[in-house]
Amino acid sequence: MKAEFIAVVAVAVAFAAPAAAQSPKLVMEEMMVPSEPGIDIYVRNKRPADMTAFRGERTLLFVHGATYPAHTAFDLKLDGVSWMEYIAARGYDVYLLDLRGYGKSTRPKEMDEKPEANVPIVRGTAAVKDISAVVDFILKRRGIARLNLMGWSWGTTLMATYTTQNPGKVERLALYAPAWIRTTPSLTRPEGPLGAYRMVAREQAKTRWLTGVPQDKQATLIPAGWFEAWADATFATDPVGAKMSPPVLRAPNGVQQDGDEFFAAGKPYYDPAKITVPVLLVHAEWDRDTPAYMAQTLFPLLVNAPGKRYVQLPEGTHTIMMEKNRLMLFEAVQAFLDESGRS
Amino acid sequence: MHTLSIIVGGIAAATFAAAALAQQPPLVSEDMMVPSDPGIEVFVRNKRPADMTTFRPERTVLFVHGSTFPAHTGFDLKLGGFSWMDYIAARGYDVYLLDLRGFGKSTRPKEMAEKPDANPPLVRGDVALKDVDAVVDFVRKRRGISRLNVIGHSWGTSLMATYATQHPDKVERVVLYAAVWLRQIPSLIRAGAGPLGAYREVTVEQTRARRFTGIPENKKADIFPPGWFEAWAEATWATDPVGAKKSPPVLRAPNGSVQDSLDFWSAGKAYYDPAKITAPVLLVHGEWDSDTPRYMSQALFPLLTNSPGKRYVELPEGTHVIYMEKNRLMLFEAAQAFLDEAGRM
Repeated sequence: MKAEFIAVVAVAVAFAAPAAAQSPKLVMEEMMVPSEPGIDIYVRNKRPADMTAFRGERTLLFVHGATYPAHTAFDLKLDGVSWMEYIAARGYDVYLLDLRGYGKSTRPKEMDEKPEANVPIVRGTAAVKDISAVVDFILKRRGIARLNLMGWSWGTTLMATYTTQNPGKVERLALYAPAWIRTTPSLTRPEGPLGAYRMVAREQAKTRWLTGVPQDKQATLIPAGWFEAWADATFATDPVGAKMSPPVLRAPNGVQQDGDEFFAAGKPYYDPAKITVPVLLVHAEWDRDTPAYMAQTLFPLLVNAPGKRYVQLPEGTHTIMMEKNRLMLFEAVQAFLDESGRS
Repeated sequence: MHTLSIIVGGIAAATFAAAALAQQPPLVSEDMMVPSDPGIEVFVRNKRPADMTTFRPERTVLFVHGSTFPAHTGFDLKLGGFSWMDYIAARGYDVYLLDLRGFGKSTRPKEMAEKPDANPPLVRGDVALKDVDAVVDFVRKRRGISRLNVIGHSWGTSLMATYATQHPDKVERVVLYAAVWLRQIPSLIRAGAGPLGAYREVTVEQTRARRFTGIPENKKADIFPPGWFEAWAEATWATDPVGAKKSPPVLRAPNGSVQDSLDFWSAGKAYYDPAKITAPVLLVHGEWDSDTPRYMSQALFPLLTNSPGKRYVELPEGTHVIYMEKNRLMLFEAAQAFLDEAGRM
């Protein structure tokens, strides 16, 4: 991939985002980064408006999980500030990407056909190509050698795999709700043979979200309006699905096929021992998508990750980033990222 | 409960300026004996910034040790120039430790002057909790505060957690470092069959072997920076003048905690009900800990159903005594971040 080509294709839309309370003014840019031919990846960047020097340990790229795009979660304003803004306001150059088939990135043409017309699309290998294209784009753009990576759910598998393949490009690795060998049923695996993609309805999303939360705690887990804010933004990213009744979000099934062949089959998708950078595993206790046993099994296998850490948070699910305890997540990740500035 | 006048009369306060940490405020250290049951005095050490004049529950900490070794030679052992106690005090805390009866500088029950098999196991949890409560009340009264933070290590986690279930109004936050819970694999402490004596005798070499259990072979060489284990062992074995005269020298440790462990943790019975803890709890643990393996913390965490803002942090490349190993700062930082949270609310 030639950098000049990328730079030309990037569509930069810079404007001042509303500053987080007591935070420096942030700048936002959105751009499309070419991955494979015909595939453009949506990338968003937020950073302090006065940032002029860029350092690997102060740069972060985030990728999402199996079903929903990055920009409607990681950069969803709740109480006036998104997680992306929280990190940027602390002096970071922060990026997110939507993988192909998700959010604002190119939808592979198979998504215009019926699900059963094609095999599952966007498997891990394709997704890692998108990540690789965006990492190289950022490294080139900022003249840095490495950056921090963060993945959520399936995104942890992708970012960890990328790190085993490109140890020289990664500073630190934050894995939020890490996936590992599965010994309990998946909450997202549809019944029967897998089509190219699956269709998810809003009510399903809510049911899945609250799985594992004690009955008496469900009412207060998600502050009023937060689920709706996320669902409105997320389901709006699929104009085709929005026209169905009820409206759906189409999500590529490559991750499900990978799940069948690896984690659900007892096989690791990557070798944790090949990760040689500091790793944070962070996880909330009510998470039933990637239950605690996954992080707890993975942690000791990270035998070559210096200064690794595993933090378990209370009263939260797979989606604690959009729940009442989200600041605990933000603080745990921030403390881990900030460590590298000291060493 | 003793009256305040007796307690105050029993204090032997030795105030002196501790060596300042690099870039840290000067600390004051006081040693005192606090009466517990009749005839039993509990050694308490306090460290705090020399210029501290106001005392707040969320800035007060009490530490208690585990089954075998006293608190003051571990929690307040200077390594690289400062102890964990110094580290916390330097951050604006009024920090206390106690040696339970039978340990360190506290009264040794008279049964320890007899042969081990002459008496049943000494200093069971209910007795140890009396010492903890005496010291908590002493600190509360002394500083005019209603609550304080508690930190327990190993067996001390059972004690401090149990204490928090019995006295929720006296506890601000609970730090459980190397938490004990239901045991699925044999204990490293309980060696040999037959009835337990009043106490056991432990040698430095036995302990060194226990310290290295669970560490990968290629990592054993650098787990303890040079001299750290020896510094701890020297200070610790010096606390038992009777045992020191034996060859090889031994440290006598009461067996009450071992009997409790057999009757509870190893029998599949919980010693306390985690749901009764209503204070924030931190579980913090080193990955190579073979004394209290991580399955214990991992089983305990979800049972703390009424602990707001609980947290579980697993640390890399460290054992049951990560607080005196190369990665000790990771432990200090995790505990500190948790304690400091209270100041923000």
